[in-house]
Amino acid sequence: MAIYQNKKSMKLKTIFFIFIITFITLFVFILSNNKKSQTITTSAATPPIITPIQVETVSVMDSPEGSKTLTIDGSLFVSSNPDGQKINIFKKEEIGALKLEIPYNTWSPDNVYIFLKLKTSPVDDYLVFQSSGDLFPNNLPYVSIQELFKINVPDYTIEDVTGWAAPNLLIVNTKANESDEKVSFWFDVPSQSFIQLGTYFK
Amino acid sequence: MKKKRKKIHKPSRSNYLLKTLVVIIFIVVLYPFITAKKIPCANSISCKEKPKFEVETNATGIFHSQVVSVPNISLLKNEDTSPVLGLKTSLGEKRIYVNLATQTLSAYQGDQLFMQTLISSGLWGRTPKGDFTIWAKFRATRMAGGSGADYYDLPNVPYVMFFSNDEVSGDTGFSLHGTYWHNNFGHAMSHGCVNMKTTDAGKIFDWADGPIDGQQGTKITIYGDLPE
Repeated sequence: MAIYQNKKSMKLKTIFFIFIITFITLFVFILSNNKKSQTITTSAATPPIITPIQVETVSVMDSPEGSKTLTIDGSLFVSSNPDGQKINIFKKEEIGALKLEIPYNTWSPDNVYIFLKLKTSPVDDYLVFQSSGDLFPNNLPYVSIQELFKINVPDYTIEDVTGWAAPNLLIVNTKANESDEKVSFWFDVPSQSFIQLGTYFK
Repeated sequence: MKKKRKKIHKPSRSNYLLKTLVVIIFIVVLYPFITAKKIPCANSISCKEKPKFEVETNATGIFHSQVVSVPNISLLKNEDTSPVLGLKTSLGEKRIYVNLATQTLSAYQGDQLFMQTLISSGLWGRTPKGDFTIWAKFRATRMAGGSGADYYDLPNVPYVMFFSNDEVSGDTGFSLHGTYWHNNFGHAMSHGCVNMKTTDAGKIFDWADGPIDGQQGTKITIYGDLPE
C-alpha cells in the first residue's frame, strides 16, 4: 500500500514538474516571438505636423549629384552645371501636343538616361531618352516602355514607373489583368527587356 | 541491493524542488539573452570596425548584382563643418524629421523649415523608429552588407551622418547619407539607412551638427509606417 502511494505521489510530482516546465517554456517562447515581430521602435517619437510636399512632376529637375539639369520649356533640353552648356533632347516641334512631364526620379544614377511620363489615355506611357541626345539603335530618340511592355508582358498592366534601381534598371510597377496581383519589373534599358521581380517596390 | 533500490526510486521532495528551482533560474538567466532586441546591422562594416572617413579613387561598387561606377569624392570643398558659435541659440534648435509613411525628410531650425525632400528608407532592412541624435559625420565612407541578390558593397558613400540612441548604437551603421547607386526617392529602397539625393544629403550634412564638446548632435526623429 505504502509503495503504491509512493508511486502515485511520484507520478503526481513528475506531472506537476512537467507542467511547470512546459508553462515556463511556452511563456518564454511567446514573449520571444512577440518581440521578434516588432518593428525596431526605441522611444516615443514626436512627429510634427508637416504639409506633404508635391512630388508628382516638375518642369526642371537636377541630376542627383547636381551636375546636370533637365528642363522642359517648350523643348526638352539638358544643361550642364555650372557652364550652362545645352543639349537638345526633344525639339519643340517634336513634342508638339504631347503632354510630357518630368518625374522626380527622372535621372538615371549615372546621368546617362532620363525617363519622362507621357500623359495618354487610358494608361500613361513612359519614355526613356539618352541625356546625350543620341538616338537609340532603332534610330528613335526614345524608347516607349508601354509599347514594349504590351508586346512582351501582355498579362500585366503598368501602373507606375517610380525611378531607377540601378544605372540601367527602371522600376516598373504593374498589376495583373486577371487578378489583383501586383508585380514589379525591372526594365533594362540597354537590352530593352523586362525582368520580373519577387519584391514589390511600393 | 535494498539500499540501492531505495536511492533510485525514492527521490526526496527537496530534490524535486531543487530541480525545479534550477530550471527556473536557468530560464530567468537565459531569458534576457534569448529575447534581447538584436538590432541588425545596416552596414556590416561598421559592426566589425569603427566607422571611418574612407575615400577610394576610380572604384566600382555592387548593388542589386550590378556593377556600379563610383563617383570620385572631391575634397576641395571646405571640410570644416563645425557650427558657428551662438547659431543654435539665436535661431533655435536644429531638428530633423523622417516620415517613413510619406518617405520624406524635413529639417527645421526652430520653427523655420530649412529643407524638405524625398528619401528612401529601409526595404530589405527596417529603418529604426524613435528619437536619435547624430553620432558621427563622415564626408564619405564604405558601406557593405546584405546577402545573395541583395548584397551590396559601396565605396565613397557621400555625406554620411550616423545616428544613435540608447538602444540603437552608432556602430550598427544606421545613417542618413547621399546615394549614387539608385534614384528611386519617395519609395523604400535601402537596407535600413535613410538614402537621400547626394545634393540634399550635402546640404543637410553641412547644416547638421555632430556631437561637439560633450553636446549631442542634431536630433533626428523617425516615425510613421511604410504603406502596406
